[in-house]
Formats: sequence, C-alpha cells, structure tokens
Amino acid sequence: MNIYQKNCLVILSLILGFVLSIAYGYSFRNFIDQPSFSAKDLEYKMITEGIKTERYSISKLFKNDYSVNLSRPYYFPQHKVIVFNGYRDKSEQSFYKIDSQGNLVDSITFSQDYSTIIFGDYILQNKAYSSWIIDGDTTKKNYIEVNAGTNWSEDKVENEFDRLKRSAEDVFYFKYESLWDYDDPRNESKIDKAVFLINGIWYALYGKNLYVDLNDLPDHTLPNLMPNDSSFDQPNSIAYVADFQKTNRVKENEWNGLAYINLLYKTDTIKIKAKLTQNEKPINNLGKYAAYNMGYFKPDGLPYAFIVQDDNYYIIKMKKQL
Amino acid sequence: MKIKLPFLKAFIIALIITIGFLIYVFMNPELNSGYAGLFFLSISPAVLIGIIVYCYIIKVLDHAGLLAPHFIFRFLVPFLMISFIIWIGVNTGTEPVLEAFQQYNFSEYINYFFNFAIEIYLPLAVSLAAITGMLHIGNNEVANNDSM
Repeated sequence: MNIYQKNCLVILSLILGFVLSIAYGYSFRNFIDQPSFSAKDLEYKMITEGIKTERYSISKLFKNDYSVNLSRPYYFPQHKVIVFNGYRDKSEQSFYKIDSQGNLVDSITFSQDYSTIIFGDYILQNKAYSSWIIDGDTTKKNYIEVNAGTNWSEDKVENEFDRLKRSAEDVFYFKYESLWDYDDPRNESKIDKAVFLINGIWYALYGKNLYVDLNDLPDHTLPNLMPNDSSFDQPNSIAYVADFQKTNRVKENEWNGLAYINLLYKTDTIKIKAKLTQNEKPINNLGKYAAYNMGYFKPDGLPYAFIVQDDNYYIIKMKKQL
Repeated sequence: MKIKLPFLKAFIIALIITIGFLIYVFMNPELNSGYAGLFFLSISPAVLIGIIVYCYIIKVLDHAGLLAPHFIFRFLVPFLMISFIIWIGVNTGTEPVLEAFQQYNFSEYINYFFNFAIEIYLPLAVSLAAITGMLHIGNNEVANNDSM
C-alpha cells in the first residue's frame, strides 16, 4: 500500500470513529432506561391544573395573581379565620382573610410601613393599630397615649409601665430607632414606645429604655408540614414521593424529573405530580428530593388545608358528604 | 517535495497564527469578557511555542514518509487526529460536552454536535489550514533554488 492509500485509510477511519461515537452516544447514553409511567401519569395530576374528585377539590386559592410574595398563613382558631400578609408592590402591604369555609372574604391594604406586624389578634403599626382580623373594621385606630408629651420623669414612667402591664392582656413595644425620624430629638433621647392591650383597646406609653420580653411572642403562623429531609423519600403519614420519572440528567446521580407524591389529608391520599430534582446519593440527613419550593399547611379544626408550590397557594377543600 | 523548515520560517508562521488567534479572541464578545481576555493573552506564548513544535512535527512526519506529500493530506490527517482526540477527551468524564441521558431526539442530538464542531473545530481547521499552507510556501522557493 503506498503512502497515499495509507493516509486515506487513516482519514476514513478517523471519520468513521466520529460517526461511531455519535451513534453510540445517541443509542446507548441518551435515552433513560426506566419503566413506563403512563398509568401513573393518569392517576397523578399536576397541582396547577386543579384536581376534583367526589371527596375533595384542589384549586388555586387566589383567583387573581395575588400570590406574589405571600407570607405563611396565620391561623386564628377562636375566630376561625386564616390571614395572609402579602406585598403586591413595594408601596403597599395587604392582608387577606380566608373564612372557615375556605373562601377569600376580605382584604385590607396599608401603605408600606415597616413596623407593621401581626401581634396576637391585632395588626400593629408604630403609629396606629387595626382590629380588622377580629371584627373586619377597616379603619386604623390610634393608640390612647398615656403620656403624649414625653416629659415624665423616669420613675413616673416606670410606675405607669408596671401598672399598665399588670392589667394588660398583651404587651408589645417599638424601639426608638424605628419610631422616630432621624433628626427627631426623641430619637436622640432614645424614647421607646410600649403598647398595652386592655379590654380591647391599645394604650401607648413613651419612655426611655422600656423593655418588653418578646421571646414568647404568640405565634399564629402555621408550620410547614412538608418534610424536607430523608423522610420525604419513604412512606410517612404526611407526604412522600411514591415514585419518580427521570426527564434528564443534571450531573452524575442528579436528575430532573416528575415526582409522584402521595399527600395524606384526613382519610384521603391525594396524588400529585410535581417537577422536582432527585439526588440519588444524598449526603448526611438530606433527602433525595429538594422540595424547598413546596409547602403544606393544615389548620386544625377547619375543613381545608393549603399546598404551596413555587409561591402559588392552592386550597384543598373537603366536599360535603351528602 | 519534502518540507524544508528553517527556524525563522517556523517562527514567522507561529507568530502570524498567534496574532490571528489574539485578534479572533478580542473580536469575539463571548471570549473577551472579564478576565478571559487576560487568560488568552497569558497563554499566547504557549500557543506560539506550540505552533513551532507542530510545524516541526509535521516536518518529521513528512520526512519519515508517514504523511503523503500533498496539501490535503498534510492538513486533513493531523486535523482529524487532533479533532478526534479532543472529541474523546471532552466527552469522557463526569461532565461530557454532549450531555448523557437527556432524551434528545435525533435532530437535537446532531445539532449539539454541530454546534460544538463550529465553535471548536472550525477555528482549529482554519488555523491548521493556514499553517499547512504557509509550510508549503518556502518549499517551492527551495525547489527552484535547488534546480538552479
């Protein structure tokens, strides 16, 4: 064989090598070998499409797009309502009320005030408060100021503080840094504001270095029951991944795909599909599925529960058994 | 005819290609963002030396009778060899260029290959073709001088 033929042979065999490697990759390392999921795809539904059976229904909680930047649900058992705190845009803060049947019945909007907080059954701000959660009153109420001019002696303030604290059901306070404007002399004098709930009215007391122990704040937020550790991979009594269909590989042992989740609500097993990432070899106590964008909230004593996925709230309502 | 390769010729070829390489890098917005421009500048001496070495390797293969004495062979054989080694190199390991297990259909799969080819193999082909062409330039003069 002369040199030209030898060279042609080298060229052709290299081209063949390319073609073979592409064919090998396409046939053997492109498709994922897994059992068929067509039966499971019918049984499990994506939450975004809504689910309806004879016993329960799952639908979007807010029909319009309120769902941006919603807080966790606050549950008030005595009033049988759920309240959400949401920011539609930066200049306003809104609260939404869900009644005992799971319907959005009321909402209230305040202009943005960073001191706004849900404390007990009231919405408190540093200049006013609202009893909207209890009675739906949309007006802002002013605190009854015990010492409007801040010229009491420290002893007098302390005595009044103790007196009010004894007869109050609840106490909260605002620190001077968030209370006054930067150039207000009261900011420099470090005047705090303590508020006391007595017989359904909030009273305010101004003074220096007032301190309220806020470590045991009444917390009405519902805990997120969605397991975020390895218990999510195994059958448990709340929610778990029953199966996983791989769609494509992210890196070694990590796959994007559809998780088939069994959510146990009262006596029903709700079957949901969700896009999740699976890590086949998780380290430490981490689970195989990263479900940080999912949440499950169940208020005891109400006939509904919430599922959150990707910041969208869905409500599970039991249908009335006829 | 056999390749004659005085050092000056190899050096000039390498210089031209390295300057061409730097122009290509700095004209390409993807490649010259941030510190990438500095990176390519810092490896250009290595590119220069590498091309000189490459020219000598071609000369050795040519004189040893392994490479056929024609432009096509002097270009295609090293080009395909280097391309194939690059292809195998970037596709083994944990993060292959053509990602495994993506369930692409056939046209998508081929598309990914061609995108890689155009990005990597095209500049490589142009450079090697230029080098091979320039290696040829000196030879004719030498041959003419020989026959005089």
